Amino acid sequence: MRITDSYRIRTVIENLNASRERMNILQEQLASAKRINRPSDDPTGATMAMKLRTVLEGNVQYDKNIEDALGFLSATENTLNDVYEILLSVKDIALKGANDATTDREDLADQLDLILRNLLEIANTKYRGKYIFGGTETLSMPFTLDENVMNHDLEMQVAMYRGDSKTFKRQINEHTALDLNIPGSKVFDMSAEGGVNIFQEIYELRNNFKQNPMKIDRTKMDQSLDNLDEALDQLLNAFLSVGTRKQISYFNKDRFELQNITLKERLSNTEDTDFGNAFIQFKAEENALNSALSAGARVISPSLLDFLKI
Amino acid sequence: MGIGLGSIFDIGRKALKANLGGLNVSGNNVANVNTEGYSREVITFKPSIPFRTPRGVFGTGVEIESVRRVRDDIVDMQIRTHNTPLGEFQEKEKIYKQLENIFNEPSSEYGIREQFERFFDTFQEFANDPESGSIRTVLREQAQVLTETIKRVDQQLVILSKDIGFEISQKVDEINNIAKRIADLNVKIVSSENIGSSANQLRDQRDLELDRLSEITNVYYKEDSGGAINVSVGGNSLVSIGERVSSLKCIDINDGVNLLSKVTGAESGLEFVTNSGRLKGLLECRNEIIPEYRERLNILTKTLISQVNNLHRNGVGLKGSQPEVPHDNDFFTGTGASDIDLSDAIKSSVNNIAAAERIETVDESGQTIITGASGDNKIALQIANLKGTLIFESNTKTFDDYFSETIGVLGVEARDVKDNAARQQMVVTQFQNLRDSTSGVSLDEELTYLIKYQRGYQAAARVISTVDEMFLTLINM
Repeated sequence: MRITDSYRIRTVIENLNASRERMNILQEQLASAKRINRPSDDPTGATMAMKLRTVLEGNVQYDKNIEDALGFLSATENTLNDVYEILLSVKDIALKGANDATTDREDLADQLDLILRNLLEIANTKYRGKYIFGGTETLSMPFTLDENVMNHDLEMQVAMYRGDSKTFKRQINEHTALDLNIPGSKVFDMSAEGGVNIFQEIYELRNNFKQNPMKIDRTKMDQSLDNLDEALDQLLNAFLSVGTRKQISYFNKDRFELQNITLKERLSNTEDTDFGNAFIQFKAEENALNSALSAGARVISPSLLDFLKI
Repeated sequence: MGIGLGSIFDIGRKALKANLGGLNVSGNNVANVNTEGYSREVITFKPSIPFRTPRGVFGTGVEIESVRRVRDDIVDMQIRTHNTPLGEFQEKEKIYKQLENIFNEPSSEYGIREQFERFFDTFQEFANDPESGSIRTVLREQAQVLTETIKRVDQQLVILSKDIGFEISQKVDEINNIAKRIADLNVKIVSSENIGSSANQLRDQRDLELDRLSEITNVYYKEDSGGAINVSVGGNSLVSIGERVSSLKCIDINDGVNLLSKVTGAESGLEFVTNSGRLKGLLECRNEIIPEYRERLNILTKTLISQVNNLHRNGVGLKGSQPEVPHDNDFFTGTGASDIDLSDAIKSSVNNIAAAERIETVDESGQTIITGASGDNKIALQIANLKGTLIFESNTKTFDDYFSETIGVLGVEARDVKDNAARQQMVVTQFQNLRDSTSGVSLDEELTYLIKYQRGYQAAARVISTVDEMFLTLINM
């Protein structure tokens, strides 16, 4: 075969180009720290990386949702705890009043008045601007005194529930939307569902003491004690469901943390540059390029001209 | 004629002329060592007609027989055959590279995937805090970024298609110009060879034009007995009967969504059909590939618009906020990727973004009152959950599945043309090397010839000076 000048030059140029191109790819991988810089670098890997990233970013959002849910649930739990302690003290007062030896029931009634005010405040607790117990009516006060009654005095009337019985949810994973709030009716006034109205019960007890300071109405008193126990049960149920929701949230949070570690590892394996490997390859290409350059220089320069005496 | 000093003089003169011719050819070869399309020439000599005497046959020196170019027609044909798909793959490779840049996946923060993800995530945030005004503003901004991103990608696809259209008409012009030049060369070659002189340079030029034409499209050509070639491409004859030229033209066709290119014979109106070449690659990209990706983006966008709007219509804004036209409770407007936007209602007030379910009650006077609870996030959650809902292709794919699959397809196709182009380049290079090996100039070789002819020239001169001395001897006798 005749090896002509254009043949030699083409071969040298093509070898250099090929070498430069391979180096360029490696250089891009090293500089961007990504093995996949465009879909054609690895179509399957690119699709995989996109899906993994979507799952990861979704998890970050679910994690935020869970944090938000936990905040709300803890606020609910604390408030329920306050209510529970109030009910315990109401029960103490009730038992004291039930004792025949007690004579100053007026005083007990006054204590209950205070408690009622306190309870109304607690029932209207806000968490980050939202009324906890208003159902989905989070911006209007859930428990208020009836404005139609002329005397806006708590001692004269029972607080009314103005919220709704609906719940709002938090998406804590792809498939689960967790009920977040407990409508105030489920805690304070379950009379519609055969339960008790806590405000009503305390109010009844207070009236019993007020009206019968010396000798109480025994039938009403027994009824009050029964109903107070039921109110405590009612509260415990609410407590339990909040506790369960918190547990579910924590469970999901832990799960995401574990899952994200695996996902990040998979994403990294899919699209990140293996630096050690890339460096070694880069070095090898560099050697190849240098060899190609020096070989090219030797192939191109000499011709018969160099040896002719002119 | 007998043997005389005069005839030997003549032999020397012819030898000088022949070696000068050899020097000329080698010099010309050396001069054209880097000329594209140049085929090296070789000079051949033959002895001049001898004369016979009863005592023997005496030579009369040397004559130049021919100067011909060294060319292998079969290799030429092979190069052209393989050049055609190479051109096609190279054009497609360029365009796919741009497509990949436009979509800018998989790891871009500004790509469509990331904006979809952020859009749905912001809806989750919104569901977490539907009472807040600030998150509504954030949501509106994010939704606007999403619509802008989709529109930008679509717009870039349209621009790319336009650029390709421009390139197609340039290629068509190039074909027409090449056809004209080939016809011109045909005339010159035929007339020059008719009078018996060689047309090597003209033939080199014509071969180069054919090489160039073969990159643009697959070309059929045949040389007739007179030395002219007839050329036809894609079912259209360009050069016929040696010198008649017809041309191609290119027009844009609007199919309602995309501008497409159509190439036909300018005079014949016959559609240009080709199965390979740069022009084919460009036509395929403009008429099939880009419309396909625009369509995929369009389906994605249409689905986004209709799904989000369907849910949003069941909702009601903050504090019962209603758009001025109550039933116009859409989130997005537009028909697809080219014109998606936020609805006027949402542009005018973020309070019109619905998180809550719409509740209709009839009051005492019989009027319908629309309300929604401030903390109700049902609609917002439903929209956020569209992210994981199987919506596409008979409810088998989510937004993310559909889009990442599109990118996967793009990656596979882009990689395919890249690999094909590299493979084809290797094939063409092999044949080019083969051609260079035959037709290329080797300086070593030519320098050797230069010395050879120099020596021949010197020797011929010596013959002449010897004869001259002999004449002197004769005169001085």
